[in-house]
Amino acid sequence: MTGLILENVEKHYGTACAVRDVNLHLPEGKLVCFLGPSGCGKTTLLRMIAGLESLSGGEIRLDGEDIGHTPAHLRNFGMVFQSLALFPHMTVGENIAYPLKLRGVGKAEQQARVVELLELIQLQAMIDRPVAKLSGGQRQRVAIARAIAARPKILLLDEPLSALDAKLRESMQVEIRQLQQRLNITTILVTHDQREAMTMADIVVVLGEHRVQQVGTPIEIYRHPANEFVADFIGSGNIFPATTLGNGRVGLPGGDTLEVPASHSVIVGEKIKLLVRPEDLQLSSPQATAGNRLLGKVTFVRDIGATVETTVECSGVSFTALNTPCQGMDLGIGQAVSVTIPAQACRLLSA
Amino acid sequence: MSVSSNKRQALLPGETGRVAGLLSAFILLLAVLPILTMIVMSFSGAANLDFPPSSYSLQWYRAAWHTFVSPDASDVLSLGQAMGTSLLVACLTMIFATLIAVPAAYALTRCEFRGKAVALQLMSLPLVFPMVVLGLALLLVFDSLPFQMTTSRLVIAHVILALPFVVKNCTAAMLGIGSEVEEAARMLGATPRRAIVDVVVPLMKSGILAGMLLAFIVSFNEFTVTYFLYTIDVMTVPIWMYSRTVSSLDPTVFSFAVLIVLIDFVLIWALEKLVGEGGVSF
Amino acid sequence: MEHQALTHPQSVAPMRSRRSLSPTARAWFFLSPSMLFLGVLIAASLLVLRMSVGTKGAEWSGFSLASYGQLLEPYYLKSLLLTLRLALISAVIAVLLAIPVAYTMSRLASPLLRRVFLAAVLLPLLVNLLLQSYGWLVILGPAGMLNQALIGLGLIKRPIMLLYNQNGVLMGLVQTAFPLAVLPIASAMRGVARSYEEAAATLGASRFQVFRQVVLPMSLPGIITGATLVFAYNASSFVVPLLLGGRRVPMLAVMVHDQIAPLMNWPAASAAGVVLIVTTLLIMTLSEYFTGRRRRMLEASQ
Repeated sequence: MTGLILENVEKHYGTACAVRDVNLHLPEGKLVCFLGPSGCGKTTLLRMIAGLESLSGGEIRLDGEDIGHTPAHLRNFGMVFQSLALFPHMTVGENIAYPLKLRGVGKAEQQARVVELLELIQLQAMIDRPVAKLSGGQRQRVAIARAIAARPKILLLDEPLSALDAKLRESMQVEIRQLQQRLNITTILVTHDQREAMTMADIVVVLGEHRVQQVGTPIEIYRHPANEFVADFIGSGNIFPATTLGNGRVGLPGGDTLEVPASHSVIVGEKIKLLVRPEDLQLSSPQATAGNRLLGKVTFVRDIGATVETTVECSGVSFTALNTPCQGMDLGIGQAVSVTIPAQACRLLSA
Repeated sequence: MSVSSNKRQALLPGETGRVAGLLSAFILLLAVLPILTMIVMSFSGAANLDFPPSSYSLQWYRAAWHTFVSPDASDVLSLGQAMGTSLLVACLTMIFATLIAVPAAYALTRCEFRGKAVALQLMSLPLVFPMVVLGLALLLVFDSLPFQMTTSRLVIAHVILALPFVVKNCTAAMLGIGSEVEEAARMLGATPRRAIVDVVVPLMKSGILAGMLLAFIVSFNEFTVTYFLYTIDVMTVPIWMYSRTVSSLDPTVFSFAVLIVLIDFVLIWALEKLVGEGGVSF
Repeated sequence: MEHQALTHPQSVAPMRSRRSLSPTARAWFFLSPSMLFLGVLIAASLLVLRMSVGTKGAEWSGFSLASYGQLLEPYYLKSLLLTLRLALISAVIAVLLAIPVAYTMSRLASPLLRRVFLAAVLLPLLVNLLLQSYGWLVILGPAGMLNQALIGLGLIKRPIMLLYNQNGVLMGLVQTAFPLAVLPIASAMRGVARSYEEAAATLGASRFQVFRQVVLPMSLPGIITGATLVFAYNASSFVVPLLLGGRRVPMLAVMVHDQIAPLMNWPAASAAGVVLIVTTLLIMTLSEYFTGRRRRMLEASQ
């Protein structure tokens, strides 16, 4: 099987467990994103793939070959560190040429490759600059150029954009993604920013509490979260307790009932969690409760220009609805309002 | 609450006031007073030790120069020879202390290992170990050896004394680098050893140099331990000066002392420049 | 751009079977050259310990506690108490003087001033103690600077004796060990971020209160370390009592040397040396215990 395969990968520090029983298949040429909150073990997992941490258990195979115990310098993986780790005592050109020098590539060939890469990142003029004289975005590009200079088999990115400001970060996300697709290089990106993951990844691996929570495309993860952890971590969601009633209906804490996609509820009387994304909720002027329409009261309005978030309390739970201003109805706190929850927008999660 | 009507900008929290500044400057002046006194005395025109001197001249410098170029017959060893020994011992101390301190600093900053706490304690032991006992103990060791050591035993003693300073400075330099650049080098294909040579050592250059300078200064000024270990034909400048002044204090010594202080000051100034904002680590 | 291997094939060969040295073994390998030198130090201290229970004339073969018994004689006991007292007083004075200097140094904005201050702190530490003692001889002599100043101020009528007694030695001890107090305190105070002072000021603390109630308690580990270093350094001080005390202020270190040089009594010298080592290690351990606890408490809240 081609690509990178992780089998039962574990990492312990003494009795503390950092990564537990990870099984993954990362196909060739794809950008895979390890997404999770800080301390979930995603960086540890990346560092084990890089060879910078030893495995406590399990195997890592690349194109069928066990590389779990190969020293980092023999793996030929490129890596961009959180701090970028550009060598401050070398120029831009020397930084990029360093991996080539280590591989005994001739001077002329080194030079040609450096020029080629600088063209790729559009920093041709910077070849003799010390890295300290570069801006944040330029350093970022040099770090990537250095990581891919020796044509690594896999590119590893450890929160490489966290030091940049929001605007530059967005454009770098697109730039890195385009570069990755152009080179068709298998890439693993570690991030805690779900927007970044959604923008860049072919496959998202959600990590939480030291284990893999879900693997899927960004849209799968968003639309069909496997459990409450994923539902809560990805996007903003209304998650609240409910009880299954059979016949495709659930009961809310306040006594109202909702119609949900039928296939889900099997056992009657089971305590479950219900997920509804804010953008799926529809607000309207107060009407009698009917079908999936509930009556509630506005408790908070957050108008941030592009969108309006309205928090409504009904049936003992608090919903947040997301609307564009033109859909809005100029609601004020305390006002009565009707909330429609489309059945197909409801996701049932095991509690 | 009264609002001060002073036009002068009130001190912000964290700024030191004029009083504290002047007090500190005065205390520091007292701390270097013996050295300053000695410098003034070296220009004395009188033959006694009264301060301030009744007149000023360069007579003691002339006398000192005379001693240097044509040593007294009464001296067992000339100043030139002592100076040669001092410089040789200081240079060897500097080289050995640095060579052994760099790997030690690497282990202490980059590795997690059993016995690290013990290693750290051992490294700072020479700083607090009573020097007289060190002198006595080393004398016992070297005298019980079947062969003679003269210069080398001074070097061994001085390396032990300088080691904590060099290790501390190298450790601080290495901590400043962080481990990611080294890992980056390894990811780019450098063997662990190559990563140290190509990346770690060049980046900690100023820390290493600072450690070397400190080792030199410590060795060059060492008196107590050397006092136990010197032999009649191998002595350093401090010992030579002491042997001249056991009976009476002669102002020519002040001129030599000024020279030594000058060398020390230049080295310390260079050290501070190297180490920069962080300050020297002790 | 085509993405093809640029690497030489041999460098990619996995080396899965070769498990490198364990981290502990690797670390001690790096430490071994230093440990060789420190081993000399430790071996030497053990020799001193052995020698201290030997007898004069049969240093390596005899066994007796006579040398330790001798230390309990009034003359030696007095010397031990004198040493401890001078070390303690000098530590207290040095720390009191060091606190304002350290605070000023830790808050100096001008780089040049910082360098000048640091040089002034380092000089007494690094310049040969012998030379500094010569300076003290001039200051403390009967016609020296201090006597003249005191007469000039009308505080005394005739020159007082400052040399070759405890006062002179104490001044020398404070001055030469002063840097050892300043450096740890300054580094601790640099660690107290300015925002703490600003926070205290906004809460209504006066400048003195800020210093007394925020900066000082937070730099306590540095202050304890400084005091300990001065104490340990001065308890085994040799050059200062030798030159400024003559033979009239017999501190322990001078006695160690006197036992060897004129008396050739190695066991007695060793026993006194063992007492010095034990005193030093004891005070360092105590200080480590207290600063360690304090530091953990401070770090836990940050």
